[in-house]
Amino acid sequence: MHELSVAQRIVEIVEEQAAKSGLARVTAIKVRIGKLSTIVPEALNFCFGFATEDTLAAGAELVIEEVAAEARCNSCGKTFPVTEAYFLLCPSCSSPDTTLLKGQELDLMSIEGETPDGEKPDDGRTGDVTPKPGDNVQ
Amino acid sequence: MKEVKVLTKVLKANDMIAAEIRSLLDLHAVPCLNLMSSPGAGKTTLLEKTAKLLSGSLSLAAIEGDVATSLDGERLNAVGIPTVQVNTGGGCHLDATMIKDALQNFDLDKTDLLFIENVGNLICPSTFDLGEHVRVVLLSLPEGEDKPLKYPAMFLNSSVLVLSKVDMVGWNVGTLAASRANALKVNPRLKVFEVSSTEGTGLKEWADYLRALVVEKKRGKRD
Repeated sequence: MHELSVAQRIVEIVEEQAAKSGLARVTAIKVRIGKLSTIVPEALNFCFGFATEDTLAAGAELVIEEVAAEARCNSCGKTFPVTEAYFLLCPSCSSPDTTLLKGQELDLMSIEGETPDGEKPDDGRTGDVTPKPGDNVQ
Repeated sequence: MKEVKVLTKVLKANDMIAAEIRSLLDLHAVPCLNLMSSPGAGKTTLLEKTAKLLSGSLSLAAIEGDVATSLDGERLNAVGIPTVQVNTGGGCHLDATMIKDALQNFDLDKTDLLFIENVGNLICPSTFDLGEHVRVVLLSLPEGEDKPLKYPAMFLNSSVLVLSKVDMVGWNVGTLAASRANALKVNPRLKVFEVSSTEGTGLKEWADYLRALVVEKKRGKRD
């Protein structure tokens, strides 16, 4: 049940970001979770309720985007989904020399909230904030 | 309504502390192994036997993680491994902050090799970088050969597998070949040791591997 400590970390980052961005209340939090991250989305959601109690994210919705695991074979160059059938062994050429590309994410992507006076934000960071391929998680 | 892009790793704070720890250990040329497994797979017993094999030639140290009690810490201290016991008080894993705090109790210039014995748990510890150099997962034969397939992240995130309690072959428990095959299926790059701490099987290979880690780390520091 490390989901509780993960939920607490999320709330800490959210509080920092909300303060920086002038949000009085946070209504939604988007996270990206890889299938191999050992985080169970249902458990995280459950813990999230407790972790946000009495914070400015109380009642916020946790939006979880799950990321399927994917690896690339360094021998034949093919990318393949990491499944229980073969995990990190390349299904095309059986090489064990592979690199996991996706599936271990545990990233906080964005938060959504209200400014104190309900004003539109003025820092130019609104609009389409859907993460794009070029966006690097720090 | 306002949406703010954040784009940060949730465990970034932990990862940064872990990186600090790794740099500190590198500076003192102390290789560090993070031992993880289910409860009862034999982590502490393996360390007790390791102490017998290595304590004449190397200075060992350990950080012992448990939910409660100092029982394991006492066991390791008793065999001559200076050990700091960390109790997580219900927490299912160690995190980098706990290790950073515990490290203040050691003189790293007088330490050759550091073990972290994680909380017995085949899931959560694999998510938390502790600043170790090598992640070791133990799988004891009686746990069953299916465990690597059921808990793949732990095996994916480790580079060494110790198949422990191999003397229990024949007790109608998991078979050795299948345990090994399943672990290698999840992570074909695992370096595997087959060990029986009670009978001594495989301990020499394990000790040789540890000695080589120390030599390599010290050489890396000189270069």
